[in-house]
Amino acid sequence: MARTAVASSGFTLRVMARNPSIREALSDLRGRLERHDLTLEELNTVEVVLAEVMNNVAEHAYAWRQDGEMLVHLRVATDGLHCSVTDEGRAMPDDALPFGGDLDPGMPIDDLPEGGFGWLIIRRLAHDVRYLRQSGVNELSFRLAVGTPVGAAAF
Amino acid sequence: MNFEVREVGPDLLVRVAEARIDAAAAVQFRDAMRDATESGQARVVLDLGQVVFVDSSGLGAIIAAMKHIGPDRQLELAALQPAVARVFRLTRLDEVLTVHADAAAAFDGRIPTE
Repeated sequence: MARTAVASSGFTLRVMARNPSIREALSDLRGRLERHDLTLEELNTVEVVLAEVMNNVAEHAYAWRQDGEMLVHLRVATDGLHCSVTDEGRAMPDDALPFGGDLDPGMPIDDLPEGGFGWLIIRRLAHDVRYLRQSGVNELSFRLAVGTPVGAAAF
Repeated sequence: MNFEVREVGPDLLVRVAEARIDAAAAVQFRDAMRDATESGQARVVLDLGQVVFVDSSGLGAIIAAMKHIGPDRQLELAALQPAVARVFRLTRLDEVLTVHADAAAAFDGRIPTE
């Protein structure tokens, strides 16, 4: 269940770190952003990056609990959509962002990974990705170059 | 997870009748693929024309399905919507799997287009 607090330049969603709640939050966010003149491709960008970030929180930060919550804050600015996602779950390994390395398409099918694509997608589509661990809180912030004239060039 | 499965000559066409293959649906997708491909056709075409959203969990489930059908059989994709085509491109999985414009193209027009 997603609840909302409205701020002047953006909004915050409180999202339960569970698959159905994440799905619901993504649909809610998409509805709100449709009012901001984003192209279909830009809406898709926002949806998939936020999906990956929220899924990571649910699967890793809150791997051991079902009642975790995260706050998703979005702010529309001239250089794009500024996003931050905070949770009180486990820290990232080594307090650092996973690398999200490239796939080698030539590798044998049996050796292909079945995970790890999320960070690859985030790193390809998001700018200024930063991770901060402070006082038991994880904060991942990033910018999506959407809804701006320069945004078109970034894709 | 709703699939429409039909045999096309010696091959199998699996049409996913869902809008999303995401983290919430990945496990059901994997199970449904295992059931759908049990009949053993050498070539399986997965028609994603109705799927508008695939995330990394969905990609992982498609890779798992490809591994499950085994090295002697082929999993191919058809009808990727723009957002779906993009995640395949970003992860370079479009270079691993054969992608057809639509199901008819995958079967050289042997199935009627709908």
